[in-house]
Amino acid sequence: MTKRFPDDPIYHGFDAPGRVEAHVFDLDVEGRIPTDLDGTFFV
Amino acid sequence: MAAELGRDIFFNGDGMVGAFRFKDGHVDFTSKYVLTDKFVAERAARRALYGAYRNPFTDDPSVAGTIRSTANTNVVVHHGLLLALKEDGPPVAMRPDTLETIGNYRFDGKMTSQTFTAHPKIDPTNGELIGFGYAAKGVTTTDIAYYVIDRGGHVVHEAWFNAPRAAMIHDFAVTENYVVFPVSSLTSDIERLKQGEPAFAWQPNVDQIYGVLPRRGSGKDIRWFTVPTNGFQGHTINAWDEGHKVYLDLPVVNDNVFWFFPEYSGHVPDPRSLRQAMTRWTFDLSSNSPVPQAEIFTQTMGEFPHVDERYATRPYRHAFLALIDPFAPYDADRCGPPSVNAFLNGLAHLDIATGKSERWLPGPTSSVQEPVFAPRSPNAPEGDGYVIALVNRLDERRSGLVILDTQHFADGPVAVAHLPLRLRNGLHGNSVPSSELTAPN
Repeated sequence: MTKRFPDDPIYHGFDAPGRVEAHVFDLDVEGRIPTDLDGTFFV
Repeated sequence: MAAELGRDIFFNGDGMVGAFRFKDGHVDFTSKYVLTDKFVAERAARRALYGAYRNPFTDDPSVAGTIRSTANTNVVVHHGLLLALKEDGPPVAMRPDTLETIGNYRFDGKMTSQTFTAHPKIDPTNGELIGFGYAAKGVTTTDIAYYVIDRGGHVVHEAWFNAPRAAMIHDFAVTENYVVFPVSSLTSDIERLKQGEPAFAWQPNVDQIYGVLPRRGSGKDIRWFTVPTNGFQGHTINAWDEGHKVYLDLPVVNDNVFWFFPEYSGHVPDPRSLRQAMTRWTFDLSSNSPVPQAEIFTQTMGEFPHVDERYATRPYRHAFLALIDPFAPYDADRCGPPSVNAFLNGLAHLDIATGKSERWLPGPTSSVQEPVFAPRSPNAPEGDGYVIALVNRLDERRSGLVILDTQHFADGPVAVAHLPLRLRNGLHGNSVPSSELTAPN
């Protein structure tokens, strides 16, 4: 049986387990991304 | 994967790396798990096999002796590789272009330390990657292994020595000619690990310790400085040297920040009693005094610092922080109880020369994650460019990526990229220009 994440504040609200691998092409942007930004933000 | 022991700490989650790629005024996003040995084994077993944080005695016998790293703390790019880092294991190499995991990485097999810091530094003048491992011969050992790795990924210098106590050394500092190791007051003990106690315990009545080593020094050259007032050393902002003096800027908190690593007595301080002081230590190598001089260089409070990396390890003027503003409102009605890093409630651009900061607050329903800096152009003046950070929209349970222009920082973002998903609180990252993203060797 799959074990559930425990009821602990570290898994509550915004910190609930994420677990999603994603690829989002051309994010929706408010304002303007500077055209001289040419690189990657790894996080 | 849910912990087999029923509970866990925030620092023990499996590493997932995100990449925001900027080009021609657009931004794309990709995220992938780091396929650590731990992740692969647990996925195959469909259950957790590794137990408590930094405690191999709590693991399933089937994984005894294997690398336990979650690779969840920081990602740096060096010699064409993306290195996913956690201080209890070797780097895990990934492809920067696809985020595919290559595997555990020991710099041509030359790094024999069991561990490697999540906070290595890159010298912008020669591309050297400078790092170390503590507990380098296994959990709770005092062994420190220090490495200089050239721009091609080859180990060109190594030194081994012992710390004065078995304690966490989370970050360190590098200057043109020296390195500094802040040895924390969070100690580890193998008997406590065997008893299932937390991996570290705060020692309330000990000195702060800082070790200074010449950048190409050997183990016998380490010089230990001590500060008779205890303190919790935060992340290095920057460091530099001039003559016989080594300068280190970092926040120091008056007591234990990590409530999940209590004192032996179980005591943890009331969070409201914690006071952070942005401290500049001066280590005078021409003096016989073991005590460095302290100066508080700004009243701004914050953590997760970044500098303009072109000035890392050298004299500098600009720093960028996740701001801690204890007076900023928090909307608990809409957001619920504060999340892990809700105290990081703004972004700050700090002028090191004046101690003054420009600030931007995302509002009472948001918190921030670590900001990074990207220069406007390769030759732009120091600090002229863009600050990029994830904003946690706590009420909407979604993430935004904000871009601020340092020419008018306090006006707020020039762009907000809306993510259709939530990126829970992570730790550290880096901005890398396309020119440095060459194909892996």
